[in-house]
Amino acid sequence: MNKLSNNIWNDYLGKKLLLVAMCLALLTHGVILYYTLPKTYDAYVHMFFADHYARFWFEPWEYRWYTGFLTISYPPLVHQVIALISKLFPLKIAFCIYAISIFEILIVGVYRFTKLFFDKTVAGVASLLVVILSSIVETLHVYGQMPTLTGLSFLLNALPFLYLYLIRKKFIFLVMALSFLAVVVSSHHVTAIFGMVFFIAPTVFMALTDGLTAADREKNIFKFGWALVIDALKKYKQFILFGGIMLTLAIGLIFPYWYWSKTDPITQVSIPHGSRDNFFKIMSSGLIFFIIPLTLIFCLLPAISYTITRKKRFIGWAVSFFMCLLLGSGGTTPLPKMILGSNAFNILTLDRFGFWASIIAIPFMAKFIHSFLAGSIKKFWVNRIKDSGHFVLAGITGFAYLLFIVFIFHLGTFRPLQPQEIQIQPMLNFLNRDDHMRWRYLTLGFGDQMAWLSANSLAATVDGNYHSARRLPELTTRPVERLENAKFSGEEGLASLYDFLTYAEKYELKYVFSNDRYYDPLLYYTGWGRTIQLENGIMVWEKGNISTIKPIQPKAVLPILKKAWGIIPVSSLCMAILLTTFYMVRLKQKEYFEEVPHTADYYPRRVMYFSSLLPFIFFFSFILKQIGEFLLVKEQKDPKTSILHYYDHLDFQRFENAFHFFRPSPTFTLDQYLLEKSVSDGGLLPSYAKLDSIHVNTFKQTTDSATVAVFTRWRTSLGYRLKNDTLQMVLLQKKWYILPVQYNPEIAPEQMRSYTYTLFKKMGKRVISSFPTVKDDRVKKPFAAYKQVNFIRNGKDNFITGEILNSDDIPINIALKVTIRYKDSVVKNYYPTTGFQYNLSPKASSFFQVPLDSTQLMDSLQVKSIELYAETDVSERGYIHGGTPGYSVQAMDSANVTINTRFYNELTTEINIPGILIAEKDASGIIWQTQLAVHTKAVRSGLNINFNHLFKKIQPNASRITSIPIIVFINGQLRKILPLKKDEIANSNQGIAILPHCFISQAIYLQ
Amino acid sequence: MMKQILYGAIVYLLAGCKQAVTPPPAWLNLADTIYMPDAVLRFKTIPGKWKACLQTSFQPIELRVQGDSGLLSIDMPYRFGIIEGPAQICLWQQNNFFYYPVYAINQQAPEIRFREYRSPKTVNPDSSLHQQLIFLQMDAHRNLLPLKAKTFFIEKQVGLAPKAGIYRAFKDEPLSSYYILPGSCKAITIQAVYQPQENNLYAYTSLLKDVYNNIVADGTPVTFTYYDGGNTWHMECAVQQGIARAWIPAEKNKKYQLKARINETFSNQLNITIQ
Repeated sequence: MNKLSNNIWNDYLGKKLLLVAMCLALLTHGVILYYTLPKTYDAYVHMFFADHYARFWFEPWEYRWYTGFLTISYPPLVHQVIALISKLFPLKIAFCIYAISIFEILIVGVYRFTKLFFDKTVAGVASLLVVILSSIVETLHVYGQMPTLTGLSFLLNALPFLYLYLIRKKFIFLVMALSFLAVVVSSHHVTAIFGMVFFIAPTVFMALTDGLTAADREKNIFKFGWALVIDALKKYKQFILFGGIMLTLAIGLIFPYWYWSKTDPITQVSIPHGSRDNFFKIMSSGLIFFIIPLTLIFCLLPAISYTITRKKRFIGWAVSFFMCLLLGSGGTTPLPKMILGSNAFNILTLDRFGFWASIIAIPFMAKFIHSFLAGSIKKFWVNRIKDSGHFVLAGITGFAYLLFIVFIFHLGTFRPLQPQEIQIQPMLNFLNRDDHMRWRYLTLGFGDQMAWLSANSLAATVDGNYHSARRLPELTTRPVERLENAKFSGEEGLASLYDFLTYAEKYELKYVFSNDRYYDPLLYYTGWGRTIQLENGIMVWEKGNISTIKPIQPKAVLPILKKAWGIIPVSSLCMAILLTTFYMVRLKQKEYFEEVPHTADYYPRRVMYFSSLLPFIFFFSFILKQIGEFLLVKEQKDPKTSILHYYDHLDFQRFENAFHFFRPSPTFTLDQYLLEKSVSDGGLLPSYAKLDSIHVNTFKQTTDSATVAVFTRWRTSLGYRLKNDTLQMVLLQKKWYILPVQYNPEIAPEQMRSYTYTLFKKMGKRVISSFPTVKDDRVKKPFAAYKQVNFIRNGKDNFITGEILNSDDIPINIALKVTIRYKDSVVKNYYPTTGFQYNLSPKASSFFQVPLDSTQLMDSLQVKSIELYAETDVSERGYIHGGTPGYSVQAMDSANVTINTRFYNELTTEINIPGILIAEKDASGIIWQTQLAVHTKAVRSGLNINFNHLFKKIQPNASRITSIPIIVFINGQLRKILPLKKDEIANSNQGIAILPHCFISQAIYLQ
Repeated sequence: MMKQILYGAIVYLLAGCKQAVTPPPAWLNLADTIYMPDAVLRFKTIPGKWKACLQTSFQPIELRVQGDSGLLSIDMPYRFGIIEGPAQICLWQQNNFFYYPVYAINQQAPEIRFREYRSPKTVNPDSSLHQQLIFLQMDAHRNLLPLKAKTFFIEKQVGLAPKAGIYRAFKDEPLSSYYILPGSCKAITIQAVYQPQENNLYAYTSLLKDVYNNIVADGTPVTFTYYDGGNTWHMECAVQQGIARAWIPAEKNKKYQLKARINETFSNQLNITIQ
């Protein structure tokens, strides 16, 4: 037994170390936190929730995300406390104050937790370790997971009391333990649930072991187990009391949460998370979720494993530690999925298990470090390499580790996880003016900062950043994290975004704040128009003819549950603070850990070697690797490597770096390269795409030259595009260079071009009033007319095709909607996608196609009637569709034709995405289908470009259904369809008619 | 013992923290009708920080409350007219609100204005040249006044001239303007000239007019469709001041068939051989 009274100086040292750790945390994390905060994954989400409670404390309905959700879907304590602090400080500062406070509590918790295992000096070392442990640094500065840290810090503080309660049977320890556990439950349900398994169960096991006699502890494992069972049965009253109250607290404290999860269970497609990847296959996930947080644990694994398995009282902790480590390994082995079950495996983020493993390991790591710095291991090394050698070993290891921690602090900078910080004030101003808040908005390319915008505005978005609360089918049926980062979710993500952009009317979605031009083509071709570029560079896109938000009935929650949600969780924290104060003042006993068995400061030689040298090797290697990455990487060692690096630089638009891959030549300078690039580049692939995959095939390689074929696949918002390039390479001074392609630019003959645009300006309100204005003030609804409307069935596909005319004298925006009434009062609405020009010049017309449901579904529902609605509005922009397309059509066979398009750009601006809207017509002029075809390269002013498009005609197989009449409306009024006319041009071109439909990025042309 | 007394005192204080019930203020110069903005309303109530507003059928108007010793004097600090009719005075202190229904009218009879509304504001000779006209009169504060006994509106159907333009019902009031826009193009005639120095075909339309000889609206796209023996081209040009012009790239020794169209109105076809 370690009598602390005999060890007063060590005891004092432990507390001193604790104080040093707390001060260090304040000085380092406290200062850095404010700057790392915007780059974390979750901080803004928690701030959004905090903002909710700051505004509506007793109202759990939050209307700003997902068309409304209940905040009782997440334990509220953390958010409520931040909300309270935000009454005194700005929200971001409030979050930082809360975070650093929790960090301090965590340090104390680890200190007290470690005292369960070892003496106070080791506990002091453990508290210091918390300040620099990579897993904790990552959780705070990279993930911003405040509820996890809160739950953990109070859980660790609760464990010593639970231990003492079981050892001493004093009621006050039970009360203290439960008061801390109540805070855990109110803060983070997952920590509470898994904490019972991985932390409380081992504590109980340890207390039971310590309660045995020395003789019982020395028995073989079976007899020891039996003695333990007998002892546990003797303490059944204690267990029942603790278990009963704990269960009551767990249910009662956050009862609305359990009520919600029972009545509105999560039924959504699992969202992929890197922590579930096979880390051997996806190394980046392994690095972020396993290696970086657990580096020190792996380095000291021999020592941890030795100590944790050395004593019987640690058995529970050993099981917990290795189990957490295994579960934290994600999908690397099938075991975590087998243990958790596929359902839990696909919902949980498994990195938290690794995080818990690192927490369990802290006392054992602290024990080793203490021994390495001042105990038996130090003596071991001093005997071998003298004092100075040990000093150097410890110094280099420590210094390298600190550099590693600094690297993690700035992980978000080295490997950007979030877009650059966005100033939100211009967006707030935009939302506040002209009643823009009456519609929903969507952000694109904001990362988690979308939650920060939400937290600062009362406007609503269709997106959100709390996946468990999502109930919109467009979101829950696809494995998409958020709409705003749809491009990172591959085809599913873009499909989901596509649904929202086309079904905007359904969600009253009128504005898109775009911080990523990647989405521009999709926005344009689904009928969105640019309206204004804000001072912070964010482009605002708008869709015309969208209804204002209709009131949604919030999900009913009993008033008593609302009150309980607002009062009970925060009361648990108040109670914990009061009880702790009471305990500290009145009951704290100096030697309450005197029963902790002594653990000898002994390690086998192999453990000492491995655990002392592994950190040295790892962290030193890490520094070397970083230096190597910056200075020594041979990017041009062979043709393939050279090409891969060249395309990487191109993809990230590092053109100067890319230029260095070309053979140095006095005639091919950087200036020349950029010039050639500027006149040959532009378009869908160079400007609006991300490199998805690349394959390099080297052929004809000699000792100093090579020809390579590069097959690339690019991800664009309009789908994947493939590209093949052939490049010549030469070897010069051990580096492979690309030979610049001889470039013959097409040059327009004119020195200057002129073109006369007709632009329109809607004069707006004539009365300066924020009240609704009188009739005099309004422009009438513009006229439009249907030239034809057809219901086409092609196998399993159904759609409404037709042509609509702007019969007015002003440019207009048209919103089309097909409403199909089925038997049994089922009504479904459908909207056009990319097969329509949403904005039309005066007297211009556009083909359209509105996709419907599958034949099977429509037949099973039984169509009763079809209605086609058009809403028109005056539009100032988007009606210039650009360019002069010339086309000819070549029949490939009875069903397929090739449309050869030559595009002439007579405008004074580059057409970034040349495109045509194709209509397949029959001899009488009926439109059978409409399709958009775009080219991947831009066409500059005064020049031509050619592209071919393979088009599959459907007339041979499709049918036009006339048995169900289509009733057509314009601006709510019943209309007739104009007489059908033959299209002679289409008839002379294999039944193909086209319209120019191009995207021009220069906003001055008001597309 | 002292502690128990202290705890007892705290409990007593906590239990004693109860908001007193505020009695409704008594309106001393009670009236069914109040004349704004000169009306001064007097109330007797308990001292406190009272606020008041007049809620008309159209807008809430903040009132000024003077005196805080229990006698309140309430008036309208900003002198403007109101929408007359049933209203209520709302008087409140903290969370205690009291309402007094009144009939509010303006003190002075303001200037009377005649108004006419035309619907639709914009007409197009393609569709209709008729407007529904409604006459009414209102005062400067937008209170509707009867034209004759109990008649507030006079309705008429008016036929309009087909000439495109901006018409004003009242000269000084831009809001009373109504608009006749040009209709669809009746016929298109085109001509084209080869310009050797530019190497293009300069094609242009005649002055484009609707059936009433109004010049077709600016910005109306005219699609010049031409066939060069291989491709069919569509070049769109916007009408400006009734004429659309296109400069079509051309090559020597080539034949062109050129047509222009606006919606379903087609021009004559030109067959041009460039030599």
